[in-house]
Amino acid sequence: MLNRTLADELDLKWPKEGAACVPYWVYTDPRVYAAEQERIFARSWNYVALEAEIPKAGDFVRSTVGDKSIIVTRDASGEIRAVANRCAHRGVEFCRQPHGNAPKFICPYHQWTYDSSGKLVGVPFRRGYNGKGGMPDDFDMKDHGLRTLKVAVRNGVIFASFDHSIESLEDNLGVAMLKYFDRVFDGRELEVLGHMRQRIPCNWKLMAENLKDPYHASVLHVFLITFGLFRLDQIATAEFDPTGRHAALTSRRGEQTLNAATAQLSNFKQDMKLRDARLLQPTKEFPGDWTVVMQTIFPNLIIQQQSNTLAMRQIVPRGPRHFDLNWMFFGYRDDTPEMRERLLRQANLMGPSGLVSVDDSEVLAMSQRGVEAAQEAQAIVEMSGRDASDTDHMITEAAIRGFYKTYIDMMDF
Amino acid sequence: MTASHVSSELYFDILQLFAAYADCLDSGDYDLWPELFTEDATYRIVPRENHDRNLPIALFFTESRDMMKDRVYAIKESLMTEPRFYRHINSAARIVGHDTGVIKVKSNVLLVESMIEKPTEIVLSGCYLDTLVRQDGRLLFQERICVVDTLLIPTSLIVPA
Repeated sequence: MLNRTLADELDLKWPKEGAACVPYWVYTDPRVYAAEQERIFARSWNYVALEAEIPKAGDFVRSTVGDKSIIVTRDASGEIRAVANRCAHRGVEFCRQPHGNAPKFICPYHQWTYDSSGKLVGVPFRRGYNGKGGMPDDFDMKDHGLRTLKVAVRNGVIFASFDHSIESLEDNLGVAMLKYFDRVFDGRELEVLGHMRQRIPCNWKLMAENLKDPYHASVLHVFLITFGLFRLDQIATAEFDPTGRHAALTSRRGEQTLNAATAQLSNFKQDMKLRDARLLQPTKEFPGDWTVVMQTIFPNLIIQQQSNTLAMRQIVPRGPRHFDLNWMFFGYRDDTPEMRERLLRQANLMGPSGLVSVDDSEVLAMSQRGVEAAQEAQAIVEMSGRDASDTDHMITEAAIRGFYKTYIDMMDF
Repeated sequence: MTASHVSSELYFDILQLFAAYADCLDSGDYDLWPELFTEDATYRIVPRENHDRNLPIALFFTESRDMMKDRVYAIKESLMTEPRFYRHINSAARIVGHDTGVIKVKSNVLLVESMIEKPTEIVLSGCYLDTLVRQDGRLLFQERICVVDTLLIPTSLIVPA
């Protein structure tokens, strides 16, 4: 296989336009999907949990890296650990509880027992019984721990990687992205407010693209456009890390007025008024002028700050044709009751029933149906050019190109 | 009066209310849905994993009849959705409390959707925790909390459960 790219091996050819187009086979081919698990997810920093989910020693939460189940836990000394949810003996996914507290992990099948660092500490009948049976003499417990992940924690947010030689989280995010990350995660104590989960019948990359695509947000979503939450006539930027894989799309709220831009938008509804205005009464919460920052952290995280709603959206690939979107809403421990109410009301915009997000879930399912029937065709990603550099407007697909620049590189296409 | 001693007339009214609720949503008469609630009623769809841990986030978080009307407007006018039919299957009601005109009722719900080019699918399975009151002779929801067992909603939940 010397000097052969993955594309050669699979007999697939990425079109000459590079990241300014996306061949539809990347959304359907099971071999591409399998390669992504090893080349993308296993080798990246994946968002896995918030520290606020596991505040006490022994607390654990199930999570995922790509499609692999993992357990994130806080050990007796308070350190955060991440281990694969797969018994070293016969491969059982031993933990089926979504969360809990356990000082040790015990596989139900043969009671192999692991400590919170993943070390194997117990094998029943390892030395047999009455001199009969048991594991061979050269069976060494040290060689049979759970697969461990490297962990990074920044201001309450936990990331994990199967690649123990990966660069630091900070180097991976870069200065420009850390600025936005630390704007939401500024060290204040976080509080988990609840989950929403949905399974969408499309490839996971279509979701990643969706949150890197301010062009669609400013034409599709009636709620965003009409109430000025995200619209192309507003002051906005798209910023990237040097590789282009992470992005932050920012904007400032606008008015519900007819102007040269809104007049072009068939989905702008000048007369639409809420009967109960409490649903959308955003207030300034963060330093600076941005009222919305959608930050995409490659490969599996969207940090959503829209007005006063805060959520982590975790992408979990489930085969080439499905993914799960896990929404975890949070606030700050020191939120006022009024701020908390705003957050809960504005959460009506998000999730499987979201007044905005429903549009996305539905259109993503329709995207997958379209690409299934046209494996020879490719998507056009040329809004605002063919490169992936920062812009001071949102009529751009540069962030999608940034994603595929890294994708082509990591996948060796 | 204890929970087990409601009149058959009242029980009949409760079942009628449940049937009216399912029928308006399944027939697309969405404007009738808020009219089954009191003006200051609460309606929420809460994932069970949140409900069991007292976490407040809800799929629908609705605090007034007017907020329900805003939802109805969105369903009819603003959301981009694929066409589908819904069926709400509401089990018989268990009366769990009945005191000074406030009736507490628990029942099960199954919501299924049917779309082109795929078999009918279960959207969610869960239970209703209802608080009912009588206003001007009509039985209405003061509160309806739908607690959803289904951890993964298939694609979208567009209409109220």
